[in-house]
Amino acid sequence: MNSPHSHKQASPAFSDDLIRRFLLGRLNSTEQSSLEEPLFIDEELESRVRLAELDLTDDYAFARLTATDREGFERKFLVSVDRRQALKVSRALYDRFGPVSLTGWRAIGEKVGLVFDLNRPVWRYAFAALILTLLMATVWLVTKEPQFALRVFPKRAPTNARAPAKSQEAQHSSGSPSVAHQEPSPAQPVHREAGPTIVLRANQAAQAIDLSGNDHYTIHVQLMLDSSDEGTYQSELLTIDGQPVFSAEALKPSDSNASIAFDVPKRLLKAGEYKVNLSRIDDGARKDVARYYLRVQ
Amino acid sequence: MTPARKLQVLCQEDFDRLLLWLDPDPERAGVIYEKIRWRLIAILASRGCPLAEELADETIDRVARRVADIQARYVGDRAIYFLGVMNNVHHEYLKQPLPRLIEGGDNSDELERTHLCLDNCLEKLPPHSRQIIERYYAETKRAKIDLRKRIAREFGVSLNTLRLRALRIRAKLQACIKQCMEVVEASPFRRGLGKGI
Repeated sequence: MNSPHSHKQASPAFSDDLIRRFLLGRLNSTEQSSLEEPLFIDEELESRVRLAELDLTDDYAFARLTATDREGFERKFLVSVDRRQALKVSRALYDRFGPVSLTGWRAIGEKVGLVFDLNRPVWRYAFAALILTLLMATVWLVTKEPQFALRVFPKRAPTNARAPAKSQEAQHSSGSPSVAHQEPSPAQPVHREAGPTIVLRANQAAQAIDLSGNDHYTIHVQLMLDSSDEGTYQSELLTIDGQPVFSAEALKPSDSNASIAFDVPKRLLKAGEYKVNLSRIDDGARKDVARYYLRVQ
Repeated sequence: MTPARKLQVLCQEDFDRLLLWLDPDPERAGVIYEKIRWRLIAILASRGCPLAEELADETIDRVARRVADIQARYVGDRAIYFLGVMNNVHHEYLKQPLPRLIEGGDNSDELERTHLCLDNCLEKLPPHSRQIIERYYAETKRAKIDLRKRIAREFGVSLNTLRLRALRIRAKLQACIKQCMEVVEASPFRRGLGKGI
């Protein structure tokens, strides 16, 4: 009738899982006997088991146990007045603080906070993947669908040095007489997507162009010259009653077919009659050269 | 009362002797007694005994009756002696036919008293402890771990520390409610729960 054990001993050998299985009556005989005697002499182990009892009771009251554990709890755990009393307290705590009673913005905040908790790796990866996808989609759009990109970021690209025309917006000479424009000239894109071309001859009846169902961003306007004079030209697109729509400066005639060409954004053109005034700039002086007419359908 | 029955009834003298054997200080002896009883119940329940409480009490009764014989020569942890006796009691129990079913079901009046006592005991908690309890229990099944991790971060403690703190507060609540319930049970005006519990 002697026992070598002291009152206080550490209980690191017993895991939380083992203690819970002990409470649910699930230990095998070896585990059971290994825990029984230490429970009588180890204060720390006793304390852990007491807390585990409350934890288990809370889990039962909050419906957090599996069906097997629930059965084990009801059959093997709930066998004393104290434990049944503890269950009543757990239920009262559930009624008082559980998810049903937690209402209002705080509850919503808690739930949203849990769903979008960026400290969870899954959300970090999800957001990283989303950002990468958006980045790749943007690159694809800009490279494969420039007209879409231009729609979003209208003609702010720098003037191409090789381009025959300079936009009025790019030049915007304060002394220029043709300052009245509603929309700046389009940039000359490095990669030009071929839009429909309309060829106009000077002082002839309006040439018609049908823009319905046209997906291109610009209309390529080609003004035929009566004589192939060197020099710098300026064209101004106006409505038939003289409202300026678009202008292009520093235009050079092409070498091959004595014409002046420039692009007009399609969105500036609505159905109706238009005219194009072509002028030549000689030593800063502007001289009218010809007038062209077109009709947009 | 038959002589056999008389033997089974624990007399006050035996009980006092038992407490004295556990510790000369009556208050400390009472604490040790409660601890031993709790341990006996925990082990018997874990063994699947539905009458854990009754068998634990039977074990204590038997030890109490034997104290007079063993106290002079017993050396070592006295709690261990209970474990040996309990094994015998449990062994005898297993030889018996079908056990009685445990009582079940909740009395709604008792449930109401539990709620009243809970409110009363919550009021007694320091604000910080109350906050821990309130947040610790405000969770859904799915979100249990996630929410506890968040609360642990907010309080600047590890998850395990948070669990221990919450459960210790919970244990205090349990003790407070038990005491409160006893007072309410004894009170002729059960519904008039005072603040001074």
